[in-house]
Amino acid sequence: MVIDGTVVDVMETWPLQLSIHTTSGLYHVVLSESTIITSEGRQPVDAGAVQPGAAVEVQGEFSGAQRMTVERLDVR
Amino acid sequence: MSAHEIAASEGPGSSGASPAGADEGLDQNEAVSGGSTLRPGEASDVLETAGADGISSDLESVPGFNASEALGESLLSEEVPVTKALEALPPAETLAYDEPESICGPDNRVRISPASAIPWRWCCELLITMANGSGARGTGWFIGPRTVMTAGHVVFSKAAGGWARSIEVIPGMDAASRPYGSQTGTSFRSVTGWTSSSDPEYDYGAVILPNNNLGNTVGYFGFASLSDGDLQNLLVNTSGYPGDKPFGTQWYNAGTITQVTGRRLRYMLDTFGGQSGSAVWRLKDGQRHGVGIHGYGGCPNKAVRITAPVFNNMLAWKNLGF
Repeated sequence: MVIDGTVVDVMETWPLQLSIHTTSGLYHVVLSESTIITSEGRQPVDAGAVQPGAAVEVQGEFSGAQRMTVERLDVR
Repeated sequence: MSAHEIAASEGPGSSGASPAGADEGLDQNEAVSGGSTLRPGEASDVLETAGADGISSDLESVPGFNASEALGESLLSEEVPVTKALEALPPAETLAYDEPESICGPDNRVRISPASAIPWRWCCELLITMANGSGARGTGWFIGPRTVMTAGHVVFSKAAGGWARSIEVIPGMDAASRPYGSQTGTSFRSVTGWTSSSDPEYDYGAVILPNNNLGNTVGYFGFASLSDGDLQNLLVNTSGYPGDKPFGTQWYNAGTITQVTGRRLRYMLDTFGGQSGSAVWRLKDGQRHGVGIHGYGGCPNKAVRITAPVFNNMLAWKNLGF
């Protein structure tokens, strides 16, 4: 499953937890040690590139309503 | 009274009964609990009124920490006038950054090693087993014999399915060294503003340990609810366990609070993922009092402010140890 949205909050556990605003509401997602983070679909970037206001595409497995464990995150 | 502040206690090891203490009727903005020079078990709860003589805050003495550089970072403005030169810059997402986004300006974090002295041993690595079984890390700080303060999203993660299954608390951890051992908590506290509403302004919680042994061994921070004026530009310290550094190593930073709102503090102190739940503390006259609970990155980085209602909940949670 994929969601597109804007990062609202970066919660500083490790791995990070994020709140992402989408057209279908607010999602709460959690990254894992194996989450692949890229910029514009190509360049791998550090988790530090995920910041409030960033447009992101997130791919992962829904674990409940409006929540997801992230497998891939792309910063647009 | 805000329903958001009602203490929620639904950790897997708890009875589900709400602890007392969320009395928002109090109008104290200068409550102070305990103090860092008190020995473990001697911390007294004191409520006092703000003095009019201003703040004489100080930073921790940490070898290698460049205080002037850190304070300079506090001058980084959060609101920058948009000039033509700025408008000509390429979109931020096209740029490559050398530092993570929660490192505000130069990275002047300093490693604390060993971490067995005060106040570092009051700071704890938290190894979290989340509701969905996945592992995560955070930071906590002792406020009582069996009470470890942290972020709400450490003990209750909506993204991971709710209350953590367990959290191992390791005070003063320094890489492979665990100078005081550890305890695992399965009883947690937070407030409904976080657990039901996911409101970042209410993102705080606590781990309640099985007994008083660890807290009475290492000691604990005091905490304080200060006025807007006392918090604005206050020099504060933080120390935690960031995920971009070697596992289990504690890192310190300091600077000034740049913005104070009703329930949050903003600052340019350098932090990173793994430091959620860290104490943001004031050192004044040899006394260390937490004034915020760090939780959010983004430069400015953000903490939940210890307001009077937060203070009252913390006091109730602390008193579970007596």
